[in-house]
Amino acid sequence: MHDGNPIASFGHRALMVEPSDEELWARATEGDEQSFGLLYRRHAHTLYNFCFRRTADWAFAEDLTSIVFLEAWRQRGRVQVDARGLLPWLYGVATNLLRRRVRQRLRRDAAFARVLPTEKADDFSEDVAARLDDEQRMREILGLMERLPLVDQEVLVLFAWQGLTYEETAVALGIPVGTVRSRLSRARYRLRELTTSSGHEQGDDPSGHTAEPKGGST
Amino acid sequence: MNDLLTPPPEREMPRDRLLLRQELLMKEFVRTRDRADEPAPAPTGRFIRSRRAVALVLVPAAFLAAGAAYALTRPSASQTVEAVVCELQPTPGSGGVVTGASGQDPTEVCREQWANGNVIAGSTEVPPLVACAAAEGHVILVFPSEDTALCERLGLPPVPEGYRHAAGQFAAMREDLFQRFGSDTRCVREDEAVQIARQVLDAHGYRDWKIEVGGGFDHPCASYAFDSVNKTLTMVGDRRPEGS
Repeated sequence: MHDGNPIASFGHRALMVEPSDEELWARATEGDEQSFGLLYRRHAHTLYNFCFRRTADWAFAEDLTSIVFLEAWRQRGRVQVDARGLLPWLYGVATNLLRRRVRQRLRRDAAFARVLPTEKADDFSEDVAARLDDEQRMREILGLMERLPLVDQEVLVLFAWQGLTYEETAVALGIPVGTVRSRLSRARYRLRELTTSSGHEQGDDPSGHTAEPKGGST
Repeated sequence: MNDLLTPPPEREMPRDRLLLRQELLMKEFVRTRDRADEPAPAPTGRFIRSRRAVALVLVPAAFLAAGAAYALTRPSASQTVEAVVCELQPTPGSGGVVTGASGQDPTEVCREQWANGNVIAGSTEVPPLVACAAAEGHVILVFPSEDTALCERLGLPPVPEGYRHAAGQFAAMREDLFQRFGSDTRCVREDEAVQIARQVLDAHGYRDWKIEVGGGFDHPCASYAFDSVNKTLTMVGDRRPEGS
């Protein structure tokens, strides 16, 4: 812990000027565990929901969120966090894990197993029914999305659902901004076709933003 | 986003789970931080590949279901054997080390892994080992146990007859693929990659395998993943290997 580190007052964040992701990541790579913990707390919610939207499984999304942070830490030598923050890069890690069918490896990889609780998650007793409905709904949406090429799905989810900018999406996927735009355009066109042919046309853009997305993604 | 494609609203991860997971992550952070003089591990951690990190061996999901009972049929010698898993505990899916099967005696493979401290970091003690088959013979699980009846108790068949031949044949095909796609000096794009993969599969007698093209071909270098259960080789695009 660094002397005078603002996150020593974690829990009173409203009174503090919070350190940027860039600062926290730099401290974490120097061994400051509280900085790493704060990054987790800052981004876990967003990643959790992103992972759910890619998997339609709340329990797996929980596991995957942990694995994304573990992978981020494992690959720390490659990470260059800039003013855009850590999140686009974390999205990239999550996307790569999903491409590699990480579900099959969760309990087989010793390091993965160490960061996953050994007991089964409870059933979120207060909202279990709502979560089951979420999963059913999300499976239906993903069923439609799967008719797009995987690379188009990835762009669409980050841009339309997660609210990343073109530039952030490009960083997350490691592709040029122009490629993001062309994939998005292709995905929109294809989705419009699909929703029209399935009788669900509603007259608006089926793929998300109609205006420039919000600048931040957190 | 229209209603058809509007995802459900965001939800919070239950607070107790969030804290528990943070705690587990922090333990791993501290554990690896304190070994900071070691290079950062490969993204797949203890998934040890027989060659450079190119081929992703997909161990069939069925084998991950801990406690699942497997058919006690003895696999034929012609089956592919992808991986040897050195389990951490006498339970399927307990974690440990995964290596590509080479035709070497699986207990010897895992003996080396234990002795090198790859199964339990910091420990080189080698326990008694018992090998069983799983996932219809595509995977060999090696458990730390003295129990010679362990396979039967777990509902797993013994290592199949002809295992070493099958594993050796599969390893030769895998090696051939590695030579075609694993080189640091050349990247192969999608169309050519599929053509080459077909030639390799056919040459090694895997004519009934199919090839699927996965995502990622915006990256310039073809990589591949095996799925023995479905007899499928999936070609995916990958980034240019580091250092090339």
